[in-house]
Amino acid sequence: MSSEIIFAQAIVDGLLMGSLYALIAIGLAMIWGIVEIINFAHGEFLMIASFLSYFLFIYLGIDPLISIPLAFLTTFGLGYLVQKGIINRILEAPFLTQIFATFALLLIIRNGFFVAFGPDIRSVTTWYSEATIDLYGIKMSIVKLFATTIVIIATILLHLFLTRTYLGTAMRALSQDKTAAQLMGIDIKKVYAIAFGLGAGLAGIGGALLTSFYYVFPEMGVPFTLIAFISVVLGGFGNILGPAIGAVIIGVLQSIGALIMTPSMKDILVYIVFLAILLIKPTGIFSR
Amino acid sequence: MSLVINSLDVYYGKVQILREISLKVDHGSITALIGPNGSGKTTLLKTISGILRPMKGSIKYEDKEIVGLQPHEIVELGIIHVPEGRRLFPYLTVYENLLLGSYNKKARERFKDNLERILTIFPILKERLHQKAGTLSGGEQQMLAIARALMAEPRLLLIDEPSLGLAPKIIDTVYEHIKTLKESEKITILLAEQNAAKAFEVSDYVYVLETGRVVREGKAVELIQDEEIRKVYLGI
Repeated sequence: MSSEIIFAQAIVDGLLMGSLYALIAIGLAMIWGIVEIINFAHGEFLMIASFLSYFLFIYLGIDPLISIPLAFLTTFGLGYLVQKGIINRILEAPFLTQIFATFALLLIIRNGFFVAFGPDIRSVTTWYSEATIDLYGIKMSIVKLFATTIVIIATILLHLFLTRTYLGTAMRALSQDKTAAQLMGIDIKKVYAIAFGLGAGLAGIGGALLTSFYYVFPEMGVPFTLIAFISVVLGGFGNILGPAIGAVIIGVLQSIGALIMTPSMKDILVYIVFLAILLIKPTGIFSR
Repeated sequence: MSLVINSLDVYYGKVQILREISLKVDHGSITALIGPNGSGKTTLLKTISGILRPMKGSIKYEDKEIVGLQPHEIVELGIIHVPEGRRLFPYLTVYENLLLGSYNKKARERFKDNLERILTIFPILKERLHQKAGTLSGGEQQMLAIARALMAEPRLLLIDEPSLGLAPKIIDTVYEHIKTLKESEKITILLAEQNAAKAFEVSDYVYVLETGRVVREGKAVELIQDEEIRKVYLGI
């Protein structure tokens, strides 16, 4: 294989993985931007969805890709309840209280899964798990290609929701001026709960997508949460495009990092670029 | 009576801002609250719209107690607040700001009709419809703030310092619109205004607030004859 092909392969792999990161990062950015809370338990929603689609596959034979809508609805519902039951009660509380609340949620969910299912690493093999298509010598995993398609569709739907509906416009308004939003007649606690639910639901779609080509275990959310945070900081707040592009950049950097260094050091390149960008533009690339 | 407030006490943390405030707003009238900075005008409006909770006292709107209701529930009743400093959504377009004005259930159904009607009242907004609200001039922003409130189909409009930061000519235009709201739209208005001359010019009844208390009240035409009021508030 020529070096151009290898490099192009790395870029394509990075784009495919980056798009999945983007979905998770957009979810985090929504919660961060609208509810103004840092959701440390973001990766836990992903993990819950992944376990759900794993068990649906094992016990009921439902393909992980088919269970995506159910994974979304489940994590949406959980996110909604978390906001309604916990976060809405501490909206006026100090910042640290809010941080500890979502951190506690992380510990409870993750350790709860450890207790219930053990630390075992599970995986699912489907007929398409190893399938690839060949494009000018570049191999693309079908399942990742499918995941990228789902991510693009979800992002477009989210964009339409945020720009074309009352509720979506209310969410954007809420992120700009909470008091003025209340004066418009917006029930902010309800909108917060829906926003948190949507954010968690996006992580849930990510989790269900991961099930068919990644490992399912209680700590699987960790790297994804971290990458989502970096993407949001990298891309900037205020829109969903910034974090999404930030996430894709990270995917590509990881992939190139693995190529020019060793796979275990792939994240070094990510952090070097991350720090460099923060030095040049601390508010993120696409911040307003 | 549209609005009846009875011995209202409001605190910010431990600091008492409003003391024993009682006032009435008549149907179809413009009632003005005047008084210096920090006298409690804004706090009073915020309490009526449910942003702040009073420690004691009652606020009755159309004979219904509204203390304890959430801000969005108060909006549903038809009490709409145009806050101090406009508080537009700067990164949303003029159109989106107006859309959010009609967020409450009743107004939402008539969004299209209301939009058309309100854009004929404020033609300048029609030209700016797809511009971000933050790019408008101060006067245009005040017009948009009022237009946005009208989209909610208010029956009682609370307007806080509409003249703030505007050139005298623009202030006149804004007040022309406020008078029109009362006369042709039959909206009851409670106005907080530091610019006492303007407040007297448009209002039917005036309350004077000082350090959180109502110190004077009366019909605008009568109160404006008062020596002390003329000296302190109108500088004549």
